[in-house]
Amino acid sequence: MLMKKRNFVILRMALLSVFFTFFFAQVNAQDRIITGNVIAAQDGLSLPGVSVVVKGTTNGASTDIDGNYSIKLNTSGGVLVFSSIGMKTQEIIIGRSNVINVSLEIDSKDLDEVMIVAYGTTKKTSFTGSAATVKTKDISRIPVSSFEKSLTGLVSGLSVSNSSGQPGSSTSVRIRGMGSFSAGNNPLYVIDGIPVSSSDMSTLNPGDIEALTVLKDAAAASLYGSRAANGVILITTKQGKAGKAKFNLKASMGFSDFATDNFENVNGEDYLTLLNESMVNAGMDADEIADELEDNGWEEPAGGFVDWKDELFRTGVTKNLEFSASGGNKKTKFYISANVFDQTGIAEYSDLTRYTGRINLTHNVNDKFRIGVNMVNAKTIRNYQSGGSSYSNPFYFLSRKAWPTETPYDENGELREVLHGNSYNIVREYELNEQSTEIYRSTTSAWAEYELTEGLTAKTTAYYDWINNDELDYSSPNSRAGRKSHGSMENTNRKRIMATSSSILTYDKTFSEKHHINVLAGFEVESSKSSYYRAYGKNIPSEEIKVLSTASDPAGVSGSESEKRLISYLSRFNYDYANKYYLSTSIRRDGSSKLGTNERWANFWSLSGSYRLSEEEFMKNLTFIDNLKLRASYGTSGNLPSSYYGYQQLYSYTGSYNSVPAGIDSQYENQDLTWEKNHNLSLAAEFSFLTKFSGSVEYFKRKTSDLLVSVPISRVTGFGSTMQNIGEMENKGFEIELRSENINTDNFRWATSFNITHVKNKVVKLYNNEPISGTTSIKIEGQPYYTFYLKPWAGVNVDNGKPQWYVVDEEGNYEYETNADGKEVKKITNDYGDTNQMIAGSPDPDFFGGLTNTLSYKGLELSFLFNFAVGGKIWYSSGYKSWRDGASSTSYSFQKDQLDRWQKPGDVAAHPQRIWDRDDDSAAYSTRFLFDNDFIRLKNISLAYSFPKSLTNKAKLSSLKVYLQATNLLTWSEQDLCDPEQAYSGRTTFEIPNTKTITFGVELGF
Amino acid sequence: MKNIYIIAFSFVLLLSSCSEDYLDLDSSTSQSMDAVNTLDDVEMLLHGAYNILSDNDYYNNGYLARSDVRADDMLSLSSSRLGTENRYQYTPEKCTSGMWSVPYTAIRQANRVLNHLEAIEAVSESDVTMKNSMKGQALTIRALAHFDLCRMFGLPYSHNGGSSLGVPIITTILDWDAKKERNTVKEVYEQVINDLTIAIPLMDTEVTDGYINHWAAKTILARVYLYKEDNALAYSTAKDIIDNSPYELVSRDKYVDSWADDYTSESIFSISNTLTDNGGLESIGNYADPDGYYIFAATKKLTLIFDDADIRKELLYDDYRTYKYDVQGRVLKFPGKGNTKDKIVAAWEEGKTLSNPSYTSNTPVFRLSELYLIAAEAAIKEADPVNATLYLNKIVERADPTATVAEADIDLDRILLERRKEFVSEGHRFFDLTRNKLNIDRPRLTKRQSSSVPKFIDWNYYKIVYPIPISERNANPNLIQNPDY
Repeated sequence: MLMKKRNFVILRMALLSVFFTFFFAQVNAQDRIITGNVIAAQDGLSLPGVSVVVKGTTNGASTDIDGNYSIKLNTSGGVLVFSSIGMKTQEIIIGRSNVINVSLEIDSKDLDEVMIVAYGTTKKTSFTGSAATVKTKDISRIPVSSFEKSLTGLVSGLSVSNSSGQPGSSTSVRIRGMGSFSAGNNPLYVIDGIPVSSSDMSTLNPGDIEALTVLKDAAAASLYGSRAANGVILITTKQGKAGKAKFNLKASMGFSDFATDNFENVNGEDYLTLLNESMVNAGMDADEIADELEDNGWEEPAGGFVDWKDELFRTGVTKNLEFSASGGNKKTKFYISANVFDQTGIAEYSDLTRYTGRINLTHNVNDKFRIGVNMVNAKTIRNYQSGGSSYSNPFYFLSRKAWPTETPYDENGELREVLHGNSYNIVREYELNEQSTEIYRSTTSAWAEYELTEGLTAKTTAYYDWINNDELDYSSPNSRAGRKSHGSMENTNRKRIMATSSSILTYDKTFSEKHHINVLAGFEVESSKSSYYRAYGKNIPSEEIKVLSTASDPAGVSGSESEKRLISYLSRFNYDYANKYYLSTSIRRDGSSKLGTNERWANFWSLSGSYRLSEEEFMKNLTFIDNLKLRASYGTSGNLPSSYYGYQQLYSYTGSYNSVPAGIDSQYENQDLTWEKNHNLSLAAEFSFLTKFSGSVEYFKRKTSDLLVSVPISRVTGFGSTMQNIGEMENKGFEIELRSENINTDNFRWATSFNITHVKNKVVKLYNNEPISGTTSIKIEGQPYYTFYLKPWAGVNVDNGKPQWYVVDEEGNYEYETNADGKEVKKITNDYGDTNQMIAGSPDPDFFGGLTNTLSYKGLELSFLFNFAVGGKIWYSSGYKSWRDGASSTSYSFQKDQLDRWQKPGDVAAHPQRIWDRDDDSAAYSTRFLFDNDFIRLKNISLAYSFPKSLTNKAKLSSLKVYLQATNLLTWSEQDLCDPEQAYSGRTTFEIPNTKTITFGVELGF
Repeated sequence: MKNIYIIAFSFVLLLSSCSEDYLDLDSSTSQSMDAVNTLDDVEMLLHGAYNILSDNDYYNNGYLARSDVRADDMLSLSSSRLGTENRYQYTPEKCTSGMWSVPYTAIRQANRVLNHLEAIEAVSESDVTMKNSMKGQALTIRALAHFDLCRMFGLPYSHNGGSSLGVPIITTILDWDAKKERNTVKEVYEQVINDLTIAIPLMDTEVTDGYINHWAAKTILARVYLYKEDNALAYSTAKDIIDNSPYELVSRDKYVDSWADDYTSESIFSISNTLTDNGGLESIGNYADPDGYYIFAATKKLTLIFDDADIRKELLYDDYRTYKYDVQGRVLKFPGKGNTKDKIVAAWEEGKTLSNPSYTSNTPVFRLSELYLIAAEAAIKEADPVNATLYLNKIVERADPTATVAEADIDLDRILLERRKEFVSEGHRFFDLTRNKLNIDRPRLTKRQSSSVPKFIDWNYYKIVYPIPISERNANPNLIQNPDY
């Protein structure tokens, strides 16, 4: 943590030093010159940018990149004041020596950490909003393709869900719950001040990230207006520092496997046992059973039973190589980096390779005029398998279809074409077919900043982002998938161009020493244009050729483009008095092309304030309190509909009939379509005491009105639903963050940080107050957005092994009856049709959070993070196929859990008696497939060693570190069916679950 | 200070360069209603209506296959696709909502076309003809969709003279919050007959492959009369088409291969599928194809009703794999464009696949053969065995010239048997049984048939009509559910 603070400090120092040097360069010749070197007491490293001033004068200097300074004195004596943000100020009386070397102590009391916030930076103490910074050190070693995946457990109020363990798969992030049904729940990502698309984060090299800030409340995020409803994640990339060029080289390699067992299948012996048992129970005679076994080939294969997991999965390997160089002089600074990231997934034929290159340049034209440019080029190549219930999803096949009696290879060792039920042999399909995507992305952001007059700065930024995707879907003529078309291939090219222009004026001034104001006004225009074209061809001559020109049947083309635009005016006013009272207000006016003229423009605003109690005189006596701050904010932000043209009545021309274009009435006109509005209230106390403990407690309430709801309408109208702004939803809860420097001695340090979040999501209003119910879930007022709605399972009858359900009336209340003992008990039925659905819980956890411990001893550092969630439920979505208790045995695989079945009267079993071809709905949707999902997981653990300076200097290195890092190493979970970290909906999917990865890495600086 | 002005100026410039219309953007794949001004524009919307008819929940699959698997000659090899219908497992909670929604989408589209036509004045003779023809087609599509919905969701007219609930009649563009009530079957039939009666004189009497014309509308009318037991009108309408239309029965020698053709001499209306625009994997052709999904198959029992000399038996193509249930195999009515039986057999023997997949076949909706059997059925119901025999034998003798039915042997059962043979897998059988109050009898030939498939369905069973999907009743509580659901 301290290292990180230093980074900020150094960055700021470098800027300051430029400033100071400029002002003091003209100093005239003087009598005496004092020189020296300033180092940090903590590690002995030189400190650049330390201000050195002769006390009581304006005469000063600052240290250069190597910590050296030189100052000329007018007088013969005096006191030198060495000060630097983050360090304890030291005063040294000038003696006879002309060399004064100083070592500065880190000021742990100092809280003036600089943080990146919306449209600028601020000191942490003066910030009136709710924001969290993530130390890049905490995430830089986690081997992920995209940085959001590593945020789990680090920030209160923030949760992360990986849709899949496949390389390059997307990630969803939620900040303080979910506020929308249909307009998206992902936060806004802002890189170096520019809002970017939340997809394609995999083109950003996590190693380039200098700082990350998560904006959570209205005060922090409202300035981003119509896109800030779900919070904002600010990313700042590294910039060069004046001084000798520094080079860094990082290399790592990791190995991955499933993090937990997921829907394990029975082994071959058990498989046959279950089959036999089910047929006997169904009353089939020996001949019939023999016939059935023979028909389906249900016997041990010559080479033994097959474990399909071995056929379809492997150990994944992740390799990462990064190189960066930074440096510059007082005028021009640079940071350049190159990165190769290569990951092979645990599923065969899935991988990702990414190359990125970045140049960040700044140049001071003169003392008022600065310009800069950030440029990134990235290329990502991804091979993947389909997800969902596609035949070619290996995890789907494994957990739903695989039979241990069936081998992928025939007697001659050739791959079979088809397996049972005519399904494709995916091992063979993988060898022959290909699905891949190549993403090219080029991002340029150029800016110019001019100081018009003292305190008044104008900055204008232009941003251009170009993403090009080339997708290939190829089915070989020899594969089953391509057989009918004699081989097919589909090429899709997608392009997205985003252009943003932003002009901001800021004015910063302190009056009468105590009154400080900061005013910002700005104007932004953004345009985002997406287009694609696709060509599909069939009849491909050979395996070896994968280009469209060789397809003799050009079988289809399609393409379209769409564009959205946004115009914004924004303003913020900050005032603070004596570092004690802070007030901030912001307003933004956004106009979007996604809305009709009635509702096109909207205003978003925020008001916030904070009060540093600890600055009051009466508190000064309580010396153990370092900081105590109260803050409150209220404000609005918005969320645009996802559809670009949702307000218009349209005829869609994407279809045809008889080779003539066909226009089809595609949506209702809705000129009143508007933004979803978030109203955020946040109240918090921040504290630190005894120089060891710090933290914050925060209450928040986030209410969304004008929620876009897809209202189911009578199909008689010709449509099934229409989007209306009619719903309301609420998220409220609290966040607690605690940090403690347990031990902090010269050699040994132990620090702990803990965060916990409680979010209660509730649907407040629906169309006509009517619940929207589905087969397993319901949206109903007063309950969370994700609410399970199921018939209640009453277990297996101990006497006859039949499935049972509790009887629930149409209102969803249990029915009761008097049992033999005269007691009122819940009524039970054997007939699934006799009961109704009821509200059965939510996947939302009551609490989630993380606990990080960092221990360091000299150069050795151990850090580990546990994340946890308590109180949510998980729905085993495919249970109705995989726990069939004997039904559909010719279609599905059997899961290990099914072994716990009823066999004889008196058995208390999880699953009913196994009966071949049963049709009593035993596996129909019910709470039989709903489980508590509490878990705690060792998310990350890393052990790093920094070689001592004495050694590295000999090797001409400035630093050398080695580390061992593991992700998802251990998991303790209430249910043992599958990985507990699933989608927010709490539904298991067939996506490849989380993996555990162990990585070894080296970092060199020279 | 000069710089200040430059920068201030560029700020102002940036602010003013974006006017309000910067935010007016249009979709690249859609157009608004204002863009529809000419008959040519409306023609594309009419094609939209045809596109909806070709939906996989409508004529490219659902309305045909889901009906056939409820009857006795076709079955489903899947527990999901078609299985729900085959096993009569549909409930308001679990049913195919497309059966309800897609025809209503077609009705909305037809009403859109009619509204636009209303607003366009046709002056030249060719414009008047075009406008009339489009109006006729839109009215016919609207009528067909109402009739089809009524067949699925309302009891047969014959059960109670149309007094039970049919479906809401929609002749205007509804607002999104409209909650219409069901009309009676009788009212729906009246509306259908009314629309058709207006439409028929407006349309071409020429053959218009892939489109509805004068004769297609009349065919619907004949079928409606037959279902309504207006037998005299059914007879006269069918006779009119047989006598006056340009269509002719396909001859015996061409019969089997004619299914590989896009259009035959007896195609009154077929859904046009092209090599690139077709129902794809979820269409009836692929469902019936052993190289495709293969879940729509003929029963073994079906082979027993054909004599060997019957040319139609040739269409029953033996399954080349051992299937344990009562499966005969494929009915070669959706073989793929140009895929004659010879080609299919040859390809199978060589282990190859044909270049045009089965889903490229057009879907026949109305064939002239139907009019002969409508005439025969209407005649026998009108106690006219002479004409019944006359028209029946045209179909019987085409299939097997030696199988002539004697006037003395003719009865309704004989005519329904012929319909069964002629229209297998074309979506007729279920309605032929239920509207004639006949039970559905489907004994198992092998023992290990899934017990979930009911063997006997009484003609009065409540599930001979589909339930209104629960999602629909949630959105529109004014819709009364069918009895016993």
